[in-house]
Amino acid sequence: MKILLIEDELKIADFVLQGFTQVGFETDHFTQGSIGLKAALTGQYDAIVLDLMLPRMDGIEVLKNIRQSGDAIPVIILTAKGDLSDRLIGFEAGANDYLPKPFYVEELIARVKSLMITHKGQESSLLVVGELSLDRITRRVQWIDHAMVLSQREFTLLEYLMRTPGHIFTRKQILKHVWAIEFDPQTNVVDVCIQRIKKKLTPTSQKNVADFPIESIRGVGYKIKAIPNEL
Amino acid sequence: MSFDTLRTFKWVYSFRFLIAIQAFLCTLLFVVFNRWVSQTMVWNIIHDKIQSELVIRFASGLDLNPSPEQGDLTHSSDPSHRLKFDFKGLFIGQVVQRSLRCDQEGFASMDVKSSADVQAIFPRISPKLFCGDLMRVAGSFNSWKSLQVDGIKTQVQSADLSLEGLSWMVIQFTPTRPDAPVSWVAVPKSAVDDYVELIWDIRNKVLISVLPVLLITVILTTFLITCTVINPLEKLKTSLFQLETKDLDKPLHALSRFNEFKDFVDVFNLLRERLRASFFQAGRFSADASHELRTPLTILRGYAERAIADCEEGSRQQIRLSQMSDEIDRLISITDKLLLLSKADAGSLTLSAAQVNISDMLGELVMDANMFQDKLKIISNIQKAMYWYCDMQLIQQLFHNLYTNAVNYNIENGWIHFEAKMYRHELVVVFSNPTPKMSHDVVERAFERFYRGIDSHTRLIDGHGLGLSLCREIARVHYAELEMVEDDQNVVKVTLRVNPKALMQPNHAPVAHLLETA
Repeated sequence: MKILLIEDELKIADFVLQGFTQVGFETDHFTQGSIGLKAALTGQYDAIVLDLMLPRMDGIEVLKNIRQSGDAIPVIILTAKGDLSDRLIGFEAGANDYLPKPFYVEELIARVKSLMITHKGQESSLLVVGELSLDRITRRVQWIDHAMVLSQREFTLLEYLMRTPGHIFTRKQILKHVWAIEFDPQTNVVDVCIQRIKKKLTPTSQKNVADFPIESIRGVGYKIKAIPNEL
Repeated sequence: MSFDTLRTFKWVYSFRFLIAIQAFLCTLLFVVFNRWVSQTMVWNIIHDKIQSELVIRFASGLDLNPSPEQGDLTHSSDPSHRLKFDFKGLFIGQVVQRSLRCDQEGFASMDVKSSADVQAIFPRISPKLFCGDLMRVAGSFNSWKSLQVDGIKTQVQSADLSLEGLSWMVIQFTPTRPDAPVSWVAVPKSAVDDYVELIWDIRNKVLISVLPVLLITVILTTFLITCTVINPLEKLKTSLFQLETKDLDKPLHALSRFNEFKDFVDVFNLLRERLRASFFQAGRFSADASHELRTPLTILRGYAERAIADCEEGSRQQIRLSQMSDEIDRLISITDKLLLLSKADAGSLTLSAAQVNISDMLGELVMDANMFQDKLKIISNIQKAMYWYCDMQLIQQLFHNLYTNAVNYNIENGWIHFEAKMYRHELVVVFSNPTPKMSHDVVERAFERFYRGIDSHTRLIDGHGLGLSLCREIARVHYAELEMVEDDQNVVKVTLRVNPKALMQPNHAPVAHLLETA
C-alpha cells in the first residue's frame, strides 16, 4: 500500500513515517502543499494523509484541487484545529476522515486501514484484529468460536484498544477515554473490566485466556497484540 | 437614630432624593440670603426716600405735618400733587406726618400745627423743650452728611441724633443768606422702622403665598433635572447589563441628545472597543497557544509512544516512559481546556444542542462512582426522566469535573451526595461532599482559573485548577447558574440551576422538563 504524507512538521512526519514503515506502508513525504498536490495528481497512491496548515498552498486548497481533478482517493486530514466548523470545512472540501492533533500514530494507521476497506467497498461495522472481531453496531464480540454481547463500558474499552493494535495504553488513558475520569480513583476498575471481557470470551479454556489478544504490560497498562501486516 | 438604622432606608441613598434635598436647601439659603440683603437695601432706600421727601416738602413750603384733610390731595386737580400721593407717597406720608420742624427762632412748625397735635403724636415730648434740645445738640454736632436733592439750592445735611431718649433722623437746612435762620426737621427713627416693618409685613405675606408654588417648582425642577440625568444612565445600565463578550463589537448608541452624554457614549464606546481588543487578544492568545502547543505535544506523544513500544515490556524504563506519557496527556488535557475557555471568553463556543436525558447521564455517573469509590459512600437522589436541551459532551464534562472535585476534596471515608430534581420548573443538580477544613477563600476563589487551594498541592491532588472555571463557563453558555457554598459542618455544596426560559429549543419547548410534560 502506498501512502502520500503531506506534512510540513518534520518531527511529526518522522514518527508517522516510522509507524507506517513498521506496518508495511510505503510512504512518500512532502512538506509543501503545491509539491504534494503534484504528487497526488500522479494517481500512484492508495491514500493521502494531509496536514491543513502548509506553506504556499494550504491543505484545503490541495484537497479541493484533488477532488476537482476527479480523484476519489481516500484523504485523512491532520490538523491542530479540531473545531466543528474546521472539521466541516474539511469534509465539505472532500476529506474522508479527520484526525485532530495530538494523535496516536497507531490510530492513524488504523484509520488509514479502515478507509482503505471502505474505499474498496468492503465497508463493515466489524473491527477485526486477528481472530478477535467486534461489531460496532450490535456490540457483539467474537473471539475464535465464542461470541458475547458486551456492556457499554466493556465495549468502549475493547474498541479503544482494538482501534490501535500494538499501542500500549496506560491505565490513566483508559480511564479518561472509557470513564471520562481524570483522576486516580485508587481502584483496579480497569483491570476488573479487562478481566471481565476476558472471562466473557474465554469461559472455559484456561489456555485460551493466555492466548487472548489483550496483553497486560506490568506497571504500564494494556494493549491489543498487533498482527503484522494485517489488512 | 444610628447610622446603621439609616442604612436600612435605601431611598436615603437615592440620587433623586439627594438632589431634591440639595435643591431645597439651596432654595432655602437663597430665600434667607435674599431676605437679609433686600432688608438692608430696602431700609437704606426708604431712609433716603424719606430724607428726600422731607427736604422737598420743606423746600417747597409744604406743611410737613399735614392733617389728613390737608394731605388728602388725591382729589386735587394738580397732577403733580396726585403723584406725591400715589401708593408709595401715602406710606411715606405717614412717616412725614410724624416729623417735627424747628428753627433757631423756635417752633417753626407751630404756625401750621398746634401744640396739641404735636402732643397727640408725641405724647411724652414737649415741642418747646424738644426744639431747644435739638438746637443745642445739632449746634454741637459736626459730623453732618451733605444731601444732594434735585432743585434744592439750600445746603442740606443729615445726621442721626439721640434726643429725648429717642433716636432721630435729623435734616439741617442752612440757607444761603447768612442772616436767615437754620432750620431742622426731625423724624423719629422708630417711624422709619415702623414703615419698613409695614413693608416687610407685606413682603412676608407675599412670600408665604408664593412659598408653596416655589416648593412645587423646586420639586418639579429637581424631578425633571434628575430624570434628564438619570434616564441616560438607566439606559447605559441596561446596555451594560445586557452586554456580553460577543456583543463587544456592537457600539452603544446615543443615550441622550445632550452633548455631554454624546461625549460620554463616545468615551464608553472607546472603552468597549479597547475591551473588545483585549478580550480578542486574550482569547486569541489562549487559542493560538493551544493550537501551537498541539504540534509539539503531538511530537512528544508520538516519540513517547514509540519509545514505550520499543522498550522491553514491563521494564523500569517503559514504566517511566508511560508515566511521562500520562503527563503529556495531562498537558494535552490542559490545552484542550484552555482552548475551550478561550472560546467561551470570546463568545464563540458553539453548542451542539440536543435533547439529553439528564437522569440517565447522572445515573451512569453514580454507577461509575459506586464502582470507583469503595472508600466513599455514594448517595443519590435523582428524579427520573428529566430532560435538558443542551450540549451533551459539554454537560457530561461539567458533571465529571464536579464529580472529580467531590472525590479530590473529600475526607477519608467520606461521602458524595448526588441530587437532581425539577424544582418550580427549574432543573437543579446538587453535588455535595464533606471536605477537610479549607482556608476561607477557597470557596470564594474556587472558580478562578488555575486556583487549586493550598491543600491540593500538599495532598498531591490530581488536577490543574481549570475544572471548576470550565464548569462555570459551560454553565454560562447554557444560561445556567453554578454556585458553590460551604456550610458550618465543612460540607461543600455545588449547585447547578437551569433556568427553563433561558435557552429554548427550536420548537420552543422548555429547555429542561420532565418526560411527562414534554
